[in-house]
Parts: sequence; C-alpha cells; structure tokens
Amino acid sequence: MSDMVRRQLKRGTLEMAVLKLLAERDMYGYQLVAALEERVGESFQVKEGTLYPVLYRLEDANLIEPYWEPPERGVPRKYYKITPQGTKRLQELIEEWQVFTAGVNKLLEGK
Amino acid sequence: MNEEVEIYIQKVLRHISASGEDRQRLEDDLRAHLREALEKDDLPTVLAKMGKPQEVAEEFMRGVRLKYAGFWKRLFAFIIDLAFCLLVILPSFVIGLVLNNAVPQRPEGLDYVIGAILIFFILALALTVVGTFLLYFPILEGRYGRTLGKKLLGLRVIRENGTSIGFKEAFLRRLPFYFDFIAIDALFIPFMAKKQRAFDLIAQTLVIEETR
Repeated sequence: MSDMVRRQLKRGTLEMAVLKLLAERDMYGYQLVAALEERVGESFQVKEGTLYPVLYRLEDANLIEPYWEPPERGVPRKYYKITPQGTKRLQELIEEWQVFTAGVNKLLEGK
Repeated sequence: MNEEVEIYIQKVLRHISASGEDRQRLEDDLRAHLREALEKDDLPTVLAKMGKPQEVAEEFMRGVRLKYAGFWKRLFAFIIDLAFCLLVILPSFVIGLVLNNAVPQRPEGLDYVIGAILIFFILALALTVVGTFLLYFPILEGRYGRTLGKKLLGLRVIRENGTSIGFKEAFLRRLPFYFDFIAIDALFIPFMAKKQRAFDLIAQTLVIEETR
C-alpha cells in the first residue's frame, strides 16, 4: 500500500482508535502507542511523535482528560481517560465507520 | 538525559509556532515518551519510530488555530524594519562618501598606502549597504521566522503547513522587495483568505500573529 494512502487512512481512524482504547482503560501516551501496535498490527504503526498532537486535539475538544499518576518508581505519568462526551463521540464514529466500510465492501465485492 | 534525544526535541520545537504552554506540554510529553522508549530499544530504533521532527511538528500544527496577520500590522512592521535598515545603511553611505572624497587624487609615497586603506573601508561600507538591503529580511526570517519589526508586533512567518520556514522560502517571498514591486504584491493581502501576498502564495508562506 502506498504511503500516502496509508497515511490518509490512519489520519481518518486514529481518533477512533485512541478513543476505543481509552474506553477500555486509562492509559498514558507510551502505552497507547504500544497498544495500537499490538492490537492493530504493523499496518497501523503510527509515528509515535505524531500521537501527542492527536491527544492534544482530543483533549481540547473535551473528549479525553489527562490526570497525573505517580508510579511505584520514577517520574509521574500523564494518564488519559475518556470523558462522557468522548464515549458519545466514539459511538458516533463507530457507527459512521460501519456504515462506510459496509458500503465500500459491498462495492468491492462486485455484483 | 541523552544529548541526541534533546536535539530531536529541539528540532521538533523549532518547527512549531505556539504559545509557551503548548510548547512545554509537547516538550515534556516527548521527553517522557523517549525516556520510556529508550528502556526497551536503542536510540536509532526509538528515533525512527518517533517519525521525522518535521512530521511531528506538522501534525502538531494541524491542531493549532492560526490568526493571520492583516495588512496594517504587517505594513507597520515593514516600516519599522525599513527604519532599522536605514539606521545601518545611511551612516555607512555617508561615511563612505566622506572617505571617498578623502582618497588622495595625485598620490605620492605614503599616499598610496592611505588610499588603499581608504578604498578598502569604502568597499566594506558599500558591501554593508548592499548586504543589509539583500540579507536583512531573508536571514532573520529564514533563521528566526521573523524580523525585528515582526518581533515587536508579535508576527511570525511560517509555512502553509504551519512549520518554520527556511532560507529558501525567505528569499523567495522577498523577491518583490528586491525588484521594487512589493507595494503591488502587498495589495493581495486584504483579498486573500489567508491574508497572503502574491509571493507568499508562491513561497507557500503565511504571516501569523503569535499567541504569546
């Protein structure tokens, strides 16, 4: 798959993927990256640095919320949790995604 | 903390224009992320996974609302810059003229040495005049994203994708100034959606008001 196509697909779905993971449990940035790679696989490998700007956008839109948690050892970590608005948005995104992919799949299967 | 990690973070930050708070947030997050990643992988692997500084900056700037600087503010900054330039150019020009008249016209003996020294200084002054005219804007904009006038008025030149411009863009957008049609070029500003000069469009640059 060309880089361009992959990037566009990722751009469109990363928000949904992050919200989905945070709906399951609170995570900090590094965990999110690791979880994305583990759950979705190579095809969805994000450039790790670009995840943070996405998190900021979700935060500014009140879809997720950061909080600091001191670990057993080392420096405090910034965890993110999903907000009620975030949960609602996730539902909308999933519905849109399913309608969209169902349509495209139907097209690809042909007559 | 690893030096190359810091260099990476600084490269990302250099490409973004954002308020101090937003910058700090990204800086802290990147550092924490890199620190953790380095416990599992070696540096080249970690940096490769992070993505190019330019990519990270671009993604960051996609979420930033830009405020495009308008005609009058930019004109005012331009006037301040011209004043700064004249501050350098005028004295150099006047001193050059004075020295020029002091060059011995019918040299004998030591006069040759004096004449040579004077001509050397005149050339240096002439270079200062031409250099200021040609380089003041592109060097400052290419290196720091803004001239003195823009700094005073809180303006910054960036690429259309939000990241910092380089010397190439800085020179390209300055062409109308060198060829003396910047006034016509600037007439585009009020009519363009992103308040660009015609040569901003060509260089793919924007002038924004910084939110500091």
